[in-house]
Amino acid sequence: MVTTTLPGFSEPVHEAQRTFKGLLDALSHPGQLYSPTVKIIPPEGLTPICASACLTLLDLETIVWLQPTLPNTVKNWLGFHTGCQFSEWPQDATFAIIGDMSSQSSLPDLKDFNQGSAEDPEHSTTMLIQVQDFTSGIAQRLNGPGILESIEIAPNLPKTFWDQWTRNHHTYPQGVDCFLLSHNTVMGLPRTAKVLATCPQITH
Amino acid sequence: MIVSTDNLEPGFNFAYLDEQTKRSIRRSLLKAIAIPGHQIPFGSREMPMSYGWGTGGIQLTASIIGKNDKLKVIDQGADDTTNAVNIRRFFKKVCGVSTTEKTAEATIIQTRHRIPETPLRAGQTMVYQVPIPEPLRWLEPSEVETRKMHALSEYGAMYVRLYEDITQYGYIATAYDYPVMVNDRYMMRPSPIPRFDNPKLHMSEALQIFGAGREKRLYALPPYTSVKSLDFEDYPFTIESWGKACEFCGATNSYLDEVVVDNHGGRLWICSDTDYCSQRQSAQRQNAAAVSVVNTSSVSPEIFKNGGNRS
Amino acid sequence: MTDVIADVITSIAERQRWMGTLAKASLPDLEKQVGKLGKLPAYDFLRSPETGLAMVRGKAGGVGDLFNLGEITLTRCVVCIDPIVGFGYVAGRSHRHAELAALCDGLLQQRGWYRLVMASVIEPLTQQQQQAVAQQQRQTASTQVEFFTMRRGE
Repeated sequence: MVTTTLPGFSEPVHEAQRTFKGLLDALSHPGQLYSPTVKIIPPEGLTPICASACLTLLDLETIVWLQPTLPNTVKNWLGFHTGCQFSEWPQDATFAIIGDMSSQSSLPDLKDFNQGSAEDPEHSTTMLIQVQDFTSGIAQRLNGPGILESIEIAPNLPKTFWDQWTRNHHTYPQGVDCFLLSHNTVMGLPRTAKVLATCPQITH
Repeated sequence: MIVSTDNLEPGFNFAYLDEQTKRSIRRSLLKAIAIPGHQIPFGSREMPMSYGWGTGGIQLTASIIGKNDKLKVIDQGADDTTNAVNIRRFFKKVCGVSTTEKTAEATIIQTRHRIPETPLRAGQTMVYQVPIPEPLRWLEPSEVETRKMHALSEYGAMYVRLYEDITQYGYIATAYDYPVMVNDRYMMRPSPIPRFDNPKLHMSEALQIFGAGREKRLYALPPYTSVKSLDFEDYPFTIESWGKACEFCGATNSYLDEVVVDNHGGRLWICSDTDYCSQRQSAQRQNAAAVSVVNTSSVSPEIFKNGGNRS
Repeated sequence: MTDVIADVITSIAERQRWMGTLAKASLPDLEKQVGKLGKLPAYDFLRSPETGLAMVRGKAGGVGDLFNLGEITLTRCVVCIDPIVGFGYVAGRSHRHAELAALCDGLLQQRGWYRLVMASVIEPLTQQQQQAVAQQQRQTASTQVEFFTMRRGE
């Protein structure tokens, strides 16, 4: 039974490499924007960069939690192209895909996802969060590894996210890591990224 | 120069590893960056060379390298030793990427036991070949225990070891693989680089990743990460100094290898970083030519004449 | 599209047979037979050819518990001859082989192509493969030794 008629990468090896390099750079430089060039027709519900990230990172060994508001096309497309498993329990997820952060009723708290253990903090969930843009949200100033001094960002995310993020940072080395993905641009937010202040004027 | 990927060794996937393996290493790499200095197990594969020849580093390089990358490989600072030449040739064969000996030109630098003297820049990736990733291994043989020690940040034993050095020798005698604390949380083994190179790890502009093939562990340092070499207030961390200059380029601030040159105990010192040394020599030649000044520096011993080619 | 021939695939077993034949054919033989089909319809890759590993599992005597025999290199590919989807799974690393196998699988599901592909690709290849097996068996049989003193255990 074929569940999708949309192709994956046309050059699987090189497009996955380019996407991965973008994700690697993004996570190594939290708050900076990267736009790896990849041609892809995403299924309804995913942006091109989010779809590329899924093809690059997911396979038989990964368990994916999908935000319930995402259309079925996403699940079918991922199932066909990556063979990943799905779970309804955030606690099981190696990856979580979130289409809309403002739909709070369909979203668990960040702490409900897998946090990893003290000995294996790397077992925590990686969140792929789709955002409208990186300019219209609440401005935040971050520092931490990968950031020289500090950096200001304003992705379109609700305030509750930043409250949860601060708690997430406090549980370090446990906690989740995020990729924020717009149409074709990605920003990394590893658990080490610390929110310094929630206002545009701040000196470091 | 970009080599056409059509001329690659047929029958191999690009960069030798299959895509499934790359994906699993890539996922581990992302987690390693999110938890700087923490060792993460990965499904290390059999490579077409034996353990101890850099199979960990090679797998990391294979997982990140792309068609347009420029690869530099060094072994103890040298581009022209067997290990470096063979790894470079391997990637040329399975990726068709271009390679270089110049630190500044490379996008990926795979290294065994040195960090280049030329400062690394943003956008470069250092890949370290690691024999033993666990800093606590010689203090606590059990993996179960060392994992607990990392979880609890229980690193007292290492300080005791360094203190024993001081009581025995009067100074911290550890010369290479000198333990560091990363981001004030994890103790990390920087692979057997000389402690001379430890300060270069701190707040580096480049991404640094570490792979141990036999031990099946990888770890990472994102750019601009605090890396502190362990020490005591009254015995601060210091790096080696030789009070000598490189025989070829005259450098006094680079890591120098001591070379015995005859049967009478004659010896000299030369830069371990061959690229750094030859860049300096060619700059000096150009300067000399420009101002027409005769070079009056000491004459090299017989075996090192003709430009100091050590290969 | 109406010329999907669900009625011609009388059973999954039939599709398994042709996929098996396509997978076991050598690439030059397959190229030669596909060449005889004339002008082929346009097709896209739904999943571009990719090489990976697959675990081969077996059952002792065909009845026991599953055990892992070992990994083999496998190349797979999915083509879309709108709207029909053809799958190719072949042992080894040949992307072209997987592509041709997927293409034939796609064509065999279409009324307009079924007979032609059966006649000029599947049947000749099946015949070749049967002959090869038969020849192998004859060669093996000729090495059989009859002992006077022992009963063979069959």
